[in-house]
Amino acid sequence: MSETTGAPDSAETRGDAVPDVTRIPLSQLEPAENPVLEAAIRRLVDEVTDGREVTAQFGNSP
Amino acid sequence: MIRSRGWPTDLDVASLIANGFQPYAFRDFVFKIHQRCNLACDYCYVYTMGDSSWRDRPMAMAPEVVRAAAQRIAEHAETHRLDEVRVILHGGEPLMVGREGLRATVSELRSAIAGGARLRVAIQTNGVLLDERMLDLLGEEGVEVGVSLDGAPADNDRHRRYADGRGSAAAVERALALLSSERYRPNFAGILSAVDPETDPVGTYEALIRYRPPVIDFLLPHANWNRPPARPGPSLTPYGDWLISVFDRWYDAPVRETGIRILDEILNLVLGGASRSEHVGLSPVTVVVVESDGSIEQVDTLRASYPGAGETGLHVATDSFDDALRHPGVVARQLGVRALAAECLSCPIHRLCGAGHYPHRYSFGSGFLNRSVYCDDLSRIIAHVQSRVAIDLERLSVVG
Ligand code: SF4
Repeated sequence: MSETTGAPDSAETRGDAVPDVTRIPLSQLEPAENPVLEAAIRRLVDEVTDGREVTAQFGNSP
Repeated sequence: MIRSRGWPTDLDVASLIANGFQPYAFRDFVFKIHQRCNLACDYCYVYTMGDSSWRDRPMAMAPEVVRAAAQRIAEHAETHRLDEVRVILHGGEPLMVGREGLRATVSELRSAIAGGARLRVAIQTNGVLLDERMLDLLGEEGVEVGVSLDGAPADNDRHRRYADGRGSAAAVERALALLSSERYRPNFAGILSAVDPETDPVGTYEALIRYRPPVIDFLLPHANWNRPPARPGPSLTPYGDWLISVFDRWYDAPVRETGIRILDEILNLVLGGASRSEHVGLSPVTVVVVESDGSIEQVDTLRASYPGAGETGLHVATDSFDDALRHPGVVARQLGVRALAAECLSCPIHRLCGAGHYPHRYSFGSGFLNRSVYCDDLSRIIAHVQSRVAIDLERLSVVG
């Protein structure tokens, strides 16, 4: 959201504001204090290690 | 019958395959085992979005249709050497088939899909009929149970009502109290909850985590460019704002209280992974629907776009699921970046957003080759997750 106009960020600006965290070596990081972020990092490291094909599942489901 | 032109009805599947595209095998099979519902929720895509095909289909899926569909799944799993497939019992309200109907359905599935792929069976129910006897049966049959509830009782009852106007919350809360008890908890798959920006997001989240669900699925309401979502209040991004409030409450808790599917997937995408949800990201969608009469359909939320949007013209008695893999509508959802409109391709977060949920892109005339009608909401929540994760990751050191 633009702080000056209150409007949503434009497509041109919204991707530039944050660093590209995909360049960080996740498997070599110390554990994150935040439990949600830590679980997300572990999930991704496991998925990459496992090497399984990822497909999109039914959204309207358990 | 496909009544609307526009992408992808004109997709040249033969040429895509000739040029190296390989369809991805289906993993999720949604069985519409009962066409009627004992609730009359005002946002339901089955009954309120102009598609009345449910009227012409058998009320319940006949045993021979279950058998034929199960054999097709076994054939598909064997052809593609799948190690696991999942059948989701759906409706209407699937528990309306009754205990014996459920037992017979699961037993047909297990006997046809034996010895090959591991079979997971799940059910998505409104919870009204979910009593101890039903839960005992689902437990015996190893069925994972997901229940729909839209938060606190008053919020739930704004939309999820019986036909006579009574709210459903009391019945569903009874069911969830049972399902989350120690006895039935192993079968608890999660809670499905539709986002209503007029509700308190944190209050909604906290009303749901009282049941300690393993996952909450927050869904954006069915909408498209011809039927835009309600945007109450001054914000241009009420759904994005709502999800941000939930994200902050969930992310800042001292423990991980539950999974929130859409936010877990956005987190995974932000970190560089691929999505397992059809709502964000570019992963190929591997879901197919079997109607109660045995028709093979694309994902049935497409009905919210226009009548007949999900039809493939195929049937489990005469066609294999491999035939469905070559349908333009199925291929379109497996093409990843090649299924995005030009405006999405030039968007810096298109790998993460993936133009959102496919039905939300529909516009009469151009079909599904558009950005999402929730574009601004999606970009807002994704940008928020990106910035929070970036701040936290910057604080972490590399240890080895
Ligand atoms: S829907 Fe909007 S945010 Fe998403 S990829 Fe397209 S332009 Fe970007």
